[in-house]
Amino acid sequence: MHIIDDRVDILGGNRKIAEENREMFDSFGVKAVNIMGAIGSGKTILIEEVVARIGKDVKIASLAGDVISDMDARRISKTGIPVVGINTGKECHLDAHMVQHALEKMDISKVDLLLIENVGNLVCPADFDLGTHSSIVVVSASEGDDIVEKHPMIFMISDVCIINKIDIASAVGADVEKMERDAVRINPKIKVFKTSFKTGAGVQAVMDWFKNLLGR
Amino acid sequence: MHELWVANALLEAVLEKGKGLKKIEEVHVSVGCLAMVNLEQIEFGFKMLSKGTPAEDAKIFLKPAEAKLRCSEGHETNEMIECLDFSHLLPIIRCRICGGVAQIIEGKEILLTKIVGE
Repeated sequence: MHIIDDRVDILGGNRKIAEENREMFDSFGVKAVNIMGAIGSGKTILIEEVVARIGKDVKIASLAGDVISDMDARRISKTGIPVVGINTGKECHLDAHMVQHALEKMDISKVDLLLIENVGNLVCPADFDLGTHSSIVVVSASEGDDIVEKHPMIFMISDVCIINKIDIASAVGADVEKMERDAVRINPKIKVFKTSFKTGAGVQAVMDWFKNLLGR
Repeated sequence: MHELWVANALLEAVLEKGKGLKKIEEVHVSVGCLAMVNLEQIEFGFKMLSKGTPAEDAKIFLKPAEAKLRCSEGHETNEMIECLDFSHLLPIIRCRICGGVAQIIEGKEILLTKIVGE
């Protein structure tokens, strides 16, 4: 009979690889951002807008996570930036290991800003550090104005919250101010942007945040 | 939601720590009460994934662990919050002493603590 007493951190394996990713980004001077959010909230259009508005001055690349398709990767590649798609298969989130593998297919030395689009999910991505410098969570008015308070963990660990589709808030009966109050109540340090990527409302402020992250 | 990922990571850790053992009989795991995972699903996932390994027939002991909370006033409390039954605390986790917003210091960890085998 052997008894092995030890404390092995099961989630620690991911954290260790996340640290390796972060060191790699730092060594190449890359700023990496984890873009999480609900399905259909506007994660992909955020990447398209960042490329369209600041892509002339900043070398941008993207990793696009999806469960089984490469639709987001193909959509982003139309903007002209390098994209690697990550199919998570059965998994509901990206983890640091998947990101590390995907980076093998990309020349990171030519990148200033890496935008990682996570799987559309407000639960699981909150538990998996990818090694990025900042985390954004995107939600939209069409998901209902209780979407923030129902998923507190992801707002606790995010630096930025984007509340999108504010142009249709009244049509779907969503109180955008309540969504903002919930986000700040859950995480007093979170920076909230209220946007409509369709009309352009509030989008410039998001771009200014990205420029600030890049020190420009 | 990602219990299968946790079960797989747990199995890898068990096989690594129990290297050289022909048969792993017991696996003890401490699960922070704010890890937000379903214990039955982890056990089920482990049983499925461990087939054909020395851990195949292992008994799994998943023990919930207390969370440590600290509020902005500096109060520290230990709380055992029933997994998947903490909605009264949310969306903000509040300090039991002053009612202020509390940060989670511990309570999201999943630790393999002991393996018994031959």
